[in-house]
Amino acid sequence: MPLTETTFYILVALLEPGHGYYIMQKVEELSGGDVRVAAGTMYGAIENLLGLKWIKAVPGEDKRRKVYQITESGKKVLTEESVRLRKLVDVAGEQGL
Amino acid sequence: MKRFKAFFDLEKEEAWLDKMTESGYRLEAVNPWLGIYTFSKVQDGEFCPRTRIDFRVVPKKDKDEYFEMYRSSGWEIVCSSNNNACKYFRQCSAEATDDIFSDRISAVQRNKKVGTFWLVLGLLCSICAILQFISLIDANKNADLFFTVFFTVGGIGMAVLAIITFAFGSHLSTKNNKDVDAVSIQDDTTVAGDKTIKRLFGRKIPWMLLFVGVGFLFGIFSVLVFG
Repeated sequence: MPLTETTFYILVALLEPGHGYYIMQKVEELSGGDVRVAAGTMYGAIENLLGLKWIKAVPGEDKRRKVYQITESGKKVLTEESVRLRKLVDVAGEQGL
Repeated sequence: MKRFKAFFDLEKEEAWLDKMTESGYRLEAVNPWLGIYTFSKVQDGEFCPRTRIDFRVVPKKDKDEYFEMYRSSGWEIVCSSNNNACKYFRQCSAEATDDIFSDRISAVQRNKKVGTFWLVLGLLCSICAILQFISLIDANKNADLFFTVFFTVGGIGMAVLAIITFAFGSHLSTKNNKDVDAVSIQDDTTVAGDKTIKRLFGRKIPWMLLFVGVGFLFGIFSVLVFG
């Protein structure tokens, strides 16, 4: 199942545990400034990903900054997606693109 | 400066708020229930923040996290709107993101939630109006005719208003749906269950007919059974 760019970056960012704003900064850094996830999109994405059990909340003290981390099934999805994307790039490469 | 304005569509409301921003007015306070907006004039050359509206019921335990996420990315809640499902956010500085949604899907998701809200409200009001109407027919049970008539008319009025709002909201506009169709080729996961919603909301005429039809049948049924 293809992922959006935002979803893909968020899952990559959460290979290391972090709170919402950390994810936003990490995604901007990973994408070299191309992708800036806005707050409303971020909050909705966390809700969706928690629902899909691709990420989980890590127990912590600070209620204002809940920490999340990728789950095993999240990692599996991310790996499958990376394989798919690599294949696409290879196909394009064979055509001289 | 105070302005009174009624909006039933968040995109139109944001467009109007953008116009105010362009003319140098900063939103200071808002009453989402009554549609009262309080602006202050920003001096020439000074930063005038944009306003964006999120439509979300946030559970109490998640509120701190939710507002913190906005605050750290440069958006602050406009006072007196934090207990409403419509939450008004204002840029803190020019460094803030342009919008509170960075992809089209999450923006459309918000509009669809608004659509669902009006649809549910419309259905609830229709049911109330029908129940009141039944007790109106059954005059023996009814002690106070005035109140029954009042609630029936009120219920029908609310139902019609909600359904009209639902039918003309931006969640149904072809422009938005086209955008989502284009985007959803690369995405099926962030919008969990979105396809079902699209199937329900993408066709407005059958829905309206179903609405009217069910109401009509219900009415006839109630007259036959109770009348």
